[in-house]
Amino acid sequence: MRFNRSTPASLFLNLLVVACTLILTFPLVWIVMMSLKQQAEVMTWPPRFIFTPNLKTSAFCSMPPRPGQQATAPSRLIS
Amino acid sequence: MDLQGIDAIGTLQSSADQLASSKNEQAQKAEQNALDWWSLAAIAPAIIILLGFLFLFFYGVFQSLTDLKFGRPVVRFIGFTNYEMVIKTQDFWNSVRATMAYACSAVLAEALFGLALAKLFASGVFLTRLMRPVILLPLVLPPMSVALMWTTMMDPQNGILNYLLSLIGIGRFAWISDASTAMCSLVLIDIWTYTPFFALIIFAGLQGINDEVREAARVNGARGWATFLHIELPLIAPYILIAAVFRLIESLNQFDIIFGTTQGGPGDSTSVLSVRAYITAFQNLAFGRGAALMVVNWMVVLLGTFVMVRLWRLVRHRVS
Amino acid sequence: MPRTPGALRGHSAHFVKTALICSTLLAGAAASFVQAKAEDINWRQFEGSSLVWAYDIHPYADAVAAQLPEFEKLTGIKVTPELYPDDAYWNKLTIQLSTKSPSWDVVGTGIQPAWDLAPGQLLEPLDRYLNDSKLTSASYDYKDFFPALRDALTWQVNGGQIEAGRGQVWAIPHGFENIQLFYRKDILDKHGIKVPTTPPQMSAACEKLKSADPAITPLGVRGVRFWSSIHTAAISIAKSYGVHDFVVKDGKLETGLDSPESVAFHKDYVEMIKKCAAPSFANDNWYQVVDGINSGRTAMAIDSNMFGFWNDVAGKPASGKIAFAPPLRAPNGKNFESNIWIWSLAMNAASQKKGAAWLFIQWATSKQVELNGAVAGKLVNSPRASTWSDKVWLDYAAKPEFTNFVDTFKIVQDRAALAFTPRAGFAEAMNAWAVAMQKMVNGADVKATLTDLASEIRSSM
Repeated sequence: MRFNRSTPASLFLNLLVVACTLILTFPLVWIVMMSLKQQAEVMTWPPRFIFTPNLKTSAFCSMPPRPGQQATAPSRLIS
Repeated sequence: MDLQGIDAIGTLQSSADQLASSKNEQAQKAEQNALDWWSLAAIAPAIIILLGFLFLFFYGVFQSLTDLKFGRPVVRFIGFTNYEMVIKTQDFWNSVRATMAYACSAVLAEALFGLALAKLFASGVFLTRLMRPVILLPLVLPPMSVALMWTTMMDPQNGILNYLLSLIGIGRFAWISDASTAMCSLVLIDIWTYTPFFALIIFAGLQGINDEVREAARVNGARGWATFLHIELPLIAPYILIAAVFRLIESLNQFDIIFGTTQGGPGDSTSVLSVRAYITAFQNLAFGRGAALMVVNWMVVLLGTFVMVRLWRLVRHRVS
Repeated sequence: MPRTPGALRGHSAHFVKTALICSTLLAGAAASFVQAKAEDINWRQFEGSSLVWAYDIHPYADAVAAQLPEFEKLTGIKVTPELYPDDAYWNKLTIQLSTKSPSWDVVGTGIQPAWDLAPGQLLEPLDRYLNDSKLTSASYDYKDFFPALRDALTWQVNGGQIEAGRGQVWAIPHGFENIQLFYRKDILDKHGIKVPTTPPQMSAACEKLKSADPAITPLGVRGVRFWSSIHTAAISIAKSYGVHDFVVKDGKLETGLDSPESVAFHKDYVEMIKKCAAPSFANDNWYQVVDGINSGRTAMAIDSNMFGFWNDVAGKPASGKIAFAPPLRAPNGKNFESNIWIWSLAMNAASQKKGAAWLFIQWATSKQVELNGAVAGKLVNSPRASTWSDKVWLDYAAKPEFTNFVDTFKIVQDRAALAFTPRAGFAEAMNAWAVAMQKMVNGADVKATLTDLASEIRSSM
């Protein structure tokens, strides 16, 4: 657009864009964060936004095992 | 989903092409008389696929007229008994109501929010250019993962949504686990997922408006709001309506989001026709009655689409 | 890591027994080895084929999956487990089998779903394989399975309906569950709450717990809109009120869900759910129930006893904190009742590798695999009498972390029985019951809802 907006108006619009983006991305970000938490951390109340990511458990234990995974990695079943 | 977006645009373009090509109809007629094997070969796959779909559809209709049930040795033709039995139950009408409520409120809200979002991103302020790709995010997720994601977030005890609400002093909310709020929650999920679809198409519409039109309006003394209401809105109305047609078809058929979260519950509060049909056919194994419900669902979709397309034609006619 | 030493001990016990039979102590081991080989079937007759085995995501599946490399070594058959979450699994199972897709060879099922699947000839009757000496090893000993379980999985199909008790074998049990009340000892002790025995007592206990600690969910029960929420707590308690899913009236099958007993049961049960269960009741399946007990967010649960055991295993966060009791009973009833669920392995009738599939079923339900699974703390209720007389398992189950598991098991098992009437159409009637239950918990009138439910069931019979 070629009109020139006043600074407060443009600031307000920018803020609106940020708000919309947050609403659209938050669920996804939250789920990704959850996938990096340990089971106990997932269930804590109040939910925590800052935590130490745990790549080991998340990707392999809380998700349904893929076919064949168990046959090749029985060690995870022992613990 | 993005495929459908392309479809929508394709439909718009092809209808425009039709208008343009009507002039050289004469020339085309001559060509048509000679049997063009190449063209036939080119459209053959489409026709075969279409016939396949038609066959399946009629097979489904035929099934709905039988008492086909799993493990039953003889299948009898029973005419409209399935329909009669279905229509007599209160649950069925409850499902029809739920289907309509879900689809209408979702499409209406999505159109409004989509329009607002499109307007915002068309304003061209600095951040829009950076954030534009983000709009697409909900659309590229598989609907079933959307359903699972929101189920987790809407958990009444340790879901994040209740936490966020508690920050602003609102007490715990049962979301999809309470019959009175389940439908609203599902519509909310639908809105989150598909508002971007509307925004995308309306955004395209807004881009298509010639800046000179706006300039002219401004010169004639129209203020911002009036420009929008009297100049822009009529021009993008066909876009909104075509998007609404697509969304209405989809949300009258919506299955993934509903089955993935509530399975039609609690009680019967979100048991829309598609979910009821699925449960009847594939969990209760009464295929005949399930097929009847699917045919009814199809008729509801047909009716809804018919009305919307009529509306779209009317609006387009008035605009052009 | 209790599994490895347990499994080793299992092995040595097995060898000692074989040696005793051969009665030559010194050369015994070697001699029996040769003899067993000679008598045994040819395990490698289907070498090179590969099978798909579908199952619920469940500790019972883990127990077998963990031993799969041994099966591959023994037979040269490759088995790919395909595991799905509970609701998704049952939906997928029905669709896979009813479309006669050959892609799954061996499937896990319970008896009730099998009632619906057998009349459509979707499951392969197993007698032919059981009685074939080339396919079934002499040491398999089918009679070793508890008679009640064998009977429950034997029936004939007549005119699309199930006639139980005689006929063909449709599936082999590989683990069963009886329904119990299990609870967090630590939580109940802390708040001074006695283990309730009836639904009204439970309601009172829940109110007390809630006022003491609002963060705790007093009772975990399944409530999903699917039959799986009926076959645990609801049917077990209902039976003690004298409720029957179906009764024979004037020689005809008739639903008993709108009887006065049923109204009385539902009034108590719905009241209890409202006071005790999590607000997410309508979405809760066993995963939520188990997770609640495991993390201590839930104080009590009525579900399959093995979930309590499974979380008592050393190393689990709730180890040693979960104790067991019989399920609730009617306030004026003499006895509690406990439904059983039999996880079984069945063969897809459309499978193209039936011989290999049978070898897998046979191996997975063999004495050794059952025992190994049991002492790994996963395949808890073995269907084989031999496991329950095996010292290795008994010693393991008597460990202190399992609290009163064995004693309660014995008490409950005396009264544990299948609470459903054998009948094709199980899913349809029970799904309708689950929906009605949700409606009542949401506040619908109990009597009116049950009348509607009964007429819905009648209309589809």
